[in-house]
Amino acid sequence: MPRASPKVRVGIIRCDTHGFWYAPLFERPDPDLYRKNHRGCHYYFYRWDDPRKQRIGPVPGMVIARVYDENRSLAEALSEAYRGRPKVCDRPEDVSDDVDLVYIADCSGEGKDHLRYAAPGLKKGVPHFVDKPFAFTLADAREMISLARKHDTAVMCLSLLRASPYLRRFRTRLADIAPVGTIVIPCGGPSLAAVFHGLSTAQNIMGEGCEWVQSMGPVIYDILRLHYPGPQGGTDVIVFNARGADPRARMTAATYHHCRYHASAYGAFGAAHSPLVGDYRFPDGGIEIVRLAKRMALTRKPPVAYDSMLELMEMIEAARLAHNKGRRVYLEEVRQGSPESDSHASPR
Amino acid sequence: MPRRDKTIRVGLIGCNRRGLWYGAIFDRIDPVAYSRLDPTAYHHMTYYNHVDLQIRRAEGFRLTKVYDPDPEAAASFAAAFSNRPMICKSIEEVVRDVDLIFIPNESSDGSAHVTFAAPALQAGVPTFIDRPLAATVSQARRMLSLARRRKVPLLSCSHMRMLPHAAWFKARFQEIGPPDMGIVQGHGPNPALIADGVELALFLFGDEFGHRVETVQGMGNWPLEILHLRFVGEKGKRILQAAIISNHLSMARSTFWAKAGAQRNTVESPDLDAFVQPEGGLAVMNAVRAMVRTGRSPVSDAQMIETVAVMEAGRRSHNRPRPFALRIVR
Repeated sequence: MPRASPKVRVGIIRCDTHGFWYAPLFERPDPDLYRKNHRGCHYYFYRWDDPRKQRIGPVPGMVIARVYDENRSLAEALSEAYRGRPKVCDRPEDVSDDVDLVYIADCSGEGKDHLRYAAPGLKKGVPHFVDKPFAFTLADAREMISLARKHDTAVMCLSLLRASPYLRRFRTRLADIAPVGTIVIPCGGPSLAAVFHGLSTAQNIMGEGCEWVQSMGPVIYDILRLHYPGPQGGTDVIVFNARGADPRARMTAATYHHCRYHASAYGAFGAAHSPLVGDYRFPDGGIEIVRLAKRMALTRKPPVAYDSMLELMEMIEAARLAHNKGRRVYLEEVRQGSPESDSHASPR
Repeated sequence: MPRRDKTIRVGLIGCNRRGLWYGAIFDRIDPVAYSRLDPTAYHHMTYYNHVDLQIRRAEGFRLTKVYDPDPEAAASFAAAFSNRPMICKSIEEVVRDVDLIFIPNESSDGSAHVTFAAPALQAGVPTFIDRPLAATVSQARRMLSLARRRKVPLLSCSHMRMLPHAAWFKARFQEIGPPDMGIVQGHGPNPALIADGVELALFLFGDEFGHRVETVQGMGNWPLEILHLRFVGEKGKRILQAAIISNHLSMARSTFWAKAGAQRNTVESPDLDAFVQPEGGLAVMNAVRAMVRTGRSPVSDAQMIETVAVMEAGRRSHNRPRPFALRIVR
């Protein structure tokens, strides 16, 4: 049943960069205190000509009520940005008390603790927005969905890339060069935090429907091939995670690599390149995600189909099974849980 | 010895469409005959309603002899050229009284090149072998060793290696700094086209690494469909990761694309398509002319071997559990 309360009360678990990043989309912080506690996020959310005015305002009708971090000082810092009003919790399970939505933030982790953090709140029937990756394993993700269903609530995981309007618009450009044989998505590194963004980029552009996965490289996920059936052999999405190195490279303000993703598509009628979707463009995806999270909090229904969220985890499991095995692993195999598919398979 | 300042007499072995393509670049081809034999390539060299080929030509060559195991192919091929080259019955016959042996390759893996080239090298005739030089490094070494013993220049390369547009794209790397990521989108499963992609990748990304690749791994529906190349330099600290994606059949324009990245900044090549690729063929022919005149190959043996080594390693690592170290095949 929809709540009668005028504001959706949000609890945030983990006050890392993403915790600070999403916070101004839930509720407008005190700009000076927010800047004091996270200058980087402040830069991207506030106007350059007026550092006290938010560039993108929050979704109306939401309020941050509780915060938690294993490092209490981070939680206190985020609370301070809201003049100390959000209650700093001692335990993660306390965050889901008296709130309408829990947000489990994760800037650069691999999702190994998401189930542990989400389970108490889901059992209380509180909707959860889980940051990317949904989980470290498909089994954990399925368990969160199962808990949500069992307790008449909902869970949602969306990457900023999955919700990016820039990539959604890029998708429409593919018709100009169709049939598209290949889409290349450079990522960087084997961490699921980055890999999940890359896969979400693919899903935003291609939609659901990845048929099978191949993977190779000295490091797991180095080169992933996601195959989408279609005319003339279909489309291969190459998620390029292999990382190069240059010891001479000096990171300066001029060369600093803003966190950003992009895609290049190659088709019969030419190439198309997406804009760089990074720090400056992420908020446009973020605001959409928070709107969906609010809707979920009010309706207790997942705003995106669970199958869509799970497909990304199935790709990851398929990649683990396929890596350096020289074979395609069909997502259907992973879905069916064939004998070869081990949801707890760990990357080497 | 080649005759200085005189037209280079070319003997061509293999009367295929690739031979026509190169022939149109270095000699006078009859456009009507060409359009009949290969209407697509004709269009790429004429565009719309021109009858004459709209490409720059290499000067100083004349196709004098041709040979193909299929006499009918040789006859229709020869008829396309204004000079009406002589149709030979054997490779030995082609080799006599020519200044250059030209071996175009349309779609083979290069395994026949030793047989085609050995008589010419034995006879001391400068030789151009289209990409890939050979199917294996040992075959490639055999030809290069023979050329060295006979003191005759041998060149094998792809037109993509010498395509000015590729060089202009490479010049743009300074916008992003030394690349740590490289992508080449090409075509397969034709091994000749895959070799084009490999040579383009080696040309674009190999400079800093002495044009040597550390490891190769392949995966896909056919050997060499998707290759992962690791270039390693500076005591293992400098690494460039590259992929050559040859996952689709060549479309009409046979477009190649490349992408380079450094610290997440990227530059993208323009379409390196069939309309611009004759400029690469022209550059190859200019290099061949210089080779015939000077007696020196413009590309080092090591570079010629590297393309073959990458492809051999790609086949041997295809869908295998780990990358293949190129030192093993070198």
